[in-house]
Amino acid sequence: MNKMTFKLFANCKIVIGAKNASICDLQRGNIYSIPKELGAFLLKSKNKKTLRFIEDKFKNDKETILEYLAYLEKNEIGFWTDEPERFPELNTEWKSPEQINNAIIELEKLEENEIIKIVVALKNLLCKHIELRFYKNNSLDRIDLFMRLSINSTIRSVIIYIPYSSSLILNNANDLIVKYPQISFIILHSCDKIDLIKNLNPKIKLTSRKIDSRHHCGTIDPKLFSIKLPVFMESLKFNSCLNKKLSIDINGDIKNCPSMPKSYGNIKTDDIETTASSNVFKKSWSIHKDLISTCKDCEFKYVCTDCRAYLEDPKNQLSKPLKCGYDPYKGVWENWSKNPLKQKVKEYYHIEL
Amino acid sequence: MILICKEYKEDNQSHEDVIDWLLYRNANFSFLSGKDYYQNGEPWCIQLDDLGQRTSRSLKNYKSIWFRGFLRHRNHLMSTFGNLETTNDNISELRWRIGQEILKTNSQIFDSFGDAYTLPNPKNIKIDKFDTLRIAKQFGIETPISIITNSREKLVTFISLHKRIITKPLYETVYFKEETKTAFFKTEILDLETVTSLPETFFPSFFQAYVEKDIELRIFYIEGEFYPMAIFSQLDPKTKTDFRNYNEEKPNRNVPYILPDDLQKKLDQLMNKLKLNTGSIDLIKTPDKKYVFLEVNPTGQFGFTSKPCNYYLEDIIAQTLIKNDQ
Ligand code: SF4
Ligand code: SF4
Repeated sequence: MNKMTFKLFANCKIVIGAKNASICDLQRGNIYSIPKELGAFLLKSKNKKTLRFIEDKFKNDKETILEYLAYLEKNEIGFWTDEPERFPELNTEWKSPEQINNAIIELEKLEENEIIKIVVALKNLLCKHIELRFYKNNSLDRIDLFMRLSINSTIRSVIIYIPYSSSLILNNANDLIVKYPQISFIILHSCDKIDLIKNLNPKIKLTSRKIDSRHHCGTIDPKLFSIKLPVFMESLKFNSCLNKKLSIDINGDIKNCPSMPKSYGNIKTDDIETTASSNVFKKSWSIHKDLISTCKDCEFKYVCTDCRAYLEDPKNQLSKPLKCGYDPYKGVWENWSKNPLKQKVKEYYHIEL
Repeated sequence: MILICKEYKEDNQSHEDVIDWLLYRNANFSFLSGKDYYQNGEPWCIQLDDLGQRTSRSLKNYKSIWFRGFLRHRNHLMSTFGNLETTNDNISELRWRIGQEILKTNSQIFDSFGDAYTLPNPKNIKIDKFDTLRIAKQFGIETPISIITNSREKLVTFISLHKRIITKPLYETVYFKEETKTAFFKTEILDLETVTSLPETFFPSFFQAYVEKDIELRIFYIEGEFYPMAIFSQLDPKTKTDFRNYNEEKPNRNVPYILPDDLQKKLDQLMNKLKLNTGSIDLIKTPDKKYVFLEVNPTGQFGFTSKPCNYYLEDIIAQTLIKNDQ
């Protein structure tokens, strides 16, 4: 065999953390935990002749490394080649064709003329994904108006959170889904009858969770990791939650996120497009993981969802998300809400879960 | 103004993506499809006289045209055919004739694009696979040994010489869907047993010596720039002959690739000769590092190459159209 260099496929990216490293398989959406030393070896060996490099620099670990390489080859994470320089790294460019990519709207109390204003702005900003939130009361008229206005726009998906009130809401949700194909999910929360309800439209999800306030957002869970190429590249330079996000909260305040106190204007008095295009509004977009304490040492930092609203240290804009239970220095997950150190902070944010 | 020429019915995420970039970059654009000429019942006329050729439906405002397709003519005059009382032979002859009439008419419609920039020029997209192989050879590009024959004897000799051979359509790959079955016109490996079971002469078909693969290369070409992607189809027996037989759970590894300079030069010459300013080029890289050219598809998919390699081809296409609109 003259294939002398072991190389990872370009879409399998190594991320080194404080204790562990990971390989993010951005094509197949898997993540592998690997020892930090192996990660470092793979980064350093690059286009070198692998076996010779091991002999030179990692002689003592030869057996282990070779075993790992066989494992990586078998799982199609890497391959042997004699022309490593023909397989370049992925370029790390990230861009997207919209001013605002996604929006969260707390629609519960907004007036008709305000809803019209919002949709017009979202259309002009070329927004693609929408989350409509209702915490306490639903308002089908408002949803219908919003959806009707967004026909023939760049809006590709709409997720709607509604409290489950009675079985009537099931029919209403179904009607909406039939009428508006852009609706990708309707999530009926605070539902105590989950077991009794069958044969749902697959776009309707029921949950017993009480999503009755904005404080439910911001949870960091490996199940929510998004192991995808564009997300990875975006996370290198931008905030994985707030970048190109616009929120209109229950009072019509224009914000990065409904849970964040900072408001940049109000739809009653300010122009949404101008506000969302201003530099101050965009400032938080570029708080990327390498600026955030603890996260910057985490092997999940480029696939993690981040949160800037609930922080471990509310006074420090660059502190780690409160609702993350991972400790990259120990490499273990814990239940964050049970952590005694975080109780004070929960009180600060008035979170009761 | 930019004109996007496509079959309206076709839903294609890659088209949507390019349109998103056009919107983002504030381009002016509109759409055209064969439907506007054949189905919507709007009157139109192309006239040739002493003043030259003119059309009632002027496309003069369009300076930059993205050509992705125009018309699927197989469903034409459906109702008329339903009522015809004639032999099957006549019906198929008639269908074919109408298809040809449509092609000729389209060609005159495309003439009204005038001097507009076209990506690619619709008059150059119906390329001939065999011709293309011959031209590629003239530029010193390796191609698979290819034959067209109706003879079992020739084919037996061919297969014993090359061990493995494939057959594929000279025209486009296509499939026919029936209720329970799907029949394909596609690349297929042939073994000696199949070949010897053929009658002495058969319907003339296209055969090629099988080219051993290290990797496959799919290259998106636009205005002299190459965006190559390596496809590791060899890892997976399911996709050994043709990577279009996807494996859903474990998709082939698709990664960016750097072509040798001299190959790139030759491919550029080939594309120039074919008068194609864009297209998808398929190559095989053999285990002994030869690059064997298979075919070029002028309106091939690009999203398939763009996404895994992070090339942003959608934006490159949009910017090319915008640049030529000025
Ligand atoms: S910053 Fe946190 S609370 Fe706000 S939208 Fe993002 S995850 Fe949710
Ligand atoms: S929030 Fe930070 S520490 Fe927690 S998993 Fe994400 S990147 Fe790692």
